[in-house]
Amino acid sequence: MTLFQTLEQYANSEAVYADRSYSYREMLEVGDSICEEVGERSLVFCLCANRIESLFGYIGFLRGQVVPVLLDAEIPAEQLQKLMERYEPTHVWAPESREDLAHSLESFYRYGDYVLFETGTAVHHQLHEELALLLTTSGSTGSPKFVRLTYNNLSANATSIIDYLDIDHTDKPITTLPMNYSYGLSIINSHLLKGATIILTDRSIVQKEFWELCRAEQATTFGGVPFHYEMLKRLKFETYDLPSLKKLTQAGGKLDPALAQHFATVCEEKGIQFFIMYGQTEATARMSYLPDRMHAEKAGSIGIAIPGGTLMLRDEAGNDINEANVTGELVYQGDNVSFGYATSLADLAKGDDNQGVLRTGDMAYQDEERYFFIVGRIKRMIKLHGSRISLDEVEALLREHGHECVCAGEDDRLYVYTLQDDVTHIKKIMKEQIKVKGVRVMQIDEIPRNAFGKIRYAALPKRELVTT
Amino acid sequence: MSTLETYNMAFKNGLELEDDVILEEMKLGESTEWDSIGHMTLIAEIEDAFDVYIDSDEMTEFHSYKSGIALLQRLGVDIKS
Repeated sequence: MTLFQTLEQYANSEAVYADRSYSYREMLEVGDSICEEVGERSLVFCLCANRIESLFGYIGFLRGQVVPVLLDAEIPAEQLQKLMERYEPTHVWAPESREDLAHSLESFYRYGDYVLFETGTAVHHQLHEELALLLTTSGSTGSPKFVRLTYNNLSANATSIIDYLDIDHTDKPITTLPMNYSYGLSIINSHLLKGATIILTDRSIVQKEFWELCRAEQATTFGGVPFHYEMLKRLKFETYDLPSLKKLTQAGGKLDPALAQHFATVCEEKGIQFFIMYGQTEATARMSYLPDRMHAEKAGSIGIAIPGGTLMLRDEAGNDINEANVTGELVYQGDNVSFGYATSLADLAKGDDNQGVLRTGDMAYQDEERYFFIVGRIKRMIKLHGSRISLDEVEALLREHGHECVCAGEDDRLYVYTLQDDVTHIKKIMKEQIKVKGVRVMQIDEIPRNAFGKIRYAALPKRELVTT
Repeated sequence: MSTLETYNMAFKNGLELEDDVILEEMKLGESTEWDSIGHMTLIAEIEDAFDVYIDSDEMTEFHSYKSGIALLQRLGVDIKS
C-alpha cells in the first residue's frame, strides 16, 4: 500500500496555486521524476518550505516509496550535519542556496530552486516495508528522534479528517503552517486526496500579501495554532471581508478559553465553521475534534475521537477509567497511531511498537457525554508557538554547548536558568540553534531542590529578581 | 535618546537582533528574525516605546524598517530617518 497512487484521476484539476496554477498532472510528473532520480527505495531528506519544489518532491517520494524525512528548509547547518551523520540519507532534496550542502555534495538534478544532492553514502537502508515517512518530534531542537509513520497511518488519518471536516474538491486551503509540521502536512494530505487545490504561500498572516492572495484565490479554509489566533484577534479578523472562507481549524496546543469563545462567536456570525482539534505527530496528526457549534456547550474541550479512533483514560495502575470527571492519562487507539520512534538507522527496520495504541502523556477527564478535557501534561513538554519542545532536550542541547542550565516553562513561555554569568551566550545559542522566540534566560544564585535533590521547578523565579 | 534611537532600540529588542545587524535591510518575512512571531513582539515594543496604537491595516503594511518610520510619522511621531 502507498499513498497518492490515485491522484491521476484529478490530472486536469488544479493541484496547487503558487506563483501560478499547477495541475495534478504537472505535480505528479515533476514529483515522479524527482523520485525516479533517487531510484530505489532508500532514505532521503526533504527540506521543506511552503513551495512547490518541496511539496512535489514529497508527493513523488511517497508515490515511489522512497522514505523522506521532512525537515525545515532553514534547519541550522550544524543540526542538519548531525542528522545526516546519524541517518545517512542517500539524497537531500533541498534549496540550491544551502551553502552547507552545495559546498560538499554533488547534484545532477534540479527543479525550480531545488536540487537533489547526492551524499554518496555506501549505506543500504533497511527500511520496514510499511514505513512511509519520518517526522521530527520537536520543531527546533534538532533532536534526532523521529516518528515512524506508515502509508496506512497517513491514509487512515487523512480519511478521518476528510470525513469529520467534510472535505471535498471545492475546498481550497491556504497554507499557514510549515509542511514538515504534522498539522500542516495533514491539511495538505487530506485535501490532495480529494482533488482540492492548495494555495501554497510562505507569507504569514501578518503580511498584507497573504490576505490579498487569500482573497484573489478565494481560499475556503486555513488552520492555525493558538498563536495564529492571538494574531488574528489582534488583526481584528472580525472586520475582514472574506466571503470565500468557510472553515477554520485550530490545533497545536490549547487555545485560551476567551479566545476560543471569541472565535466561536465571530465564526458563527460570518457563517464560518470553526473546529478545535487535538493531536500529536505520534498519531500522524489528529486524534480528536470539537464539532462546530459545540463551543458554548463544551468550552475548553478537545471534543470527541475522530472517526475510526477511540479515546480512553487510564489510571496510574493502567486500569481503564470509565467514570465521568475522573482524571487519568489520555490514551488513543486507531490506525493512525505511528509504529513508534526512530533514534538510529537500525530503528528504521523495526515494526509496529505501538500496536495502534498511543499513550499521549496528557492528563484528561471526560464529562457525562464523553467529551474530553485536558488538564495537564505528564512529560516535561511545552508548546512554543505550536511547536513542541522537550525541556529536557533543551537542557541537553545547552549542555552540549557547555552550559549547565535548568529549563522550565509553560506554553509559549520558556525559561532558562543558569548559575553562571553566561546569559548572553546562552541567548545566542538559543537563537541560533533552537530558533525560538519568547525565551527568558535568567541567572540565579541557586537551583531550588527538595530533600531528595529533585529540582523544585515551581520555586524557580518567573522574572529576574531585582537586587537592591 | 532621539526618537530614531528609540525606534532602533525597539527594533533590536522586538526582533532580538544582534548589534551588527543592519536595520535598514530588515524585511518582514525575509529576514530570519522578522517572522510573524517577531512581528507581533516588534509591534508591541513600538506601541510601548511611542505610546501609539497600531491598527490592523497598519500592522500588515508595516513590512520594512523604512515603512515603520513612515507609519510612525503618520501616527504623529516626530521621527526622521
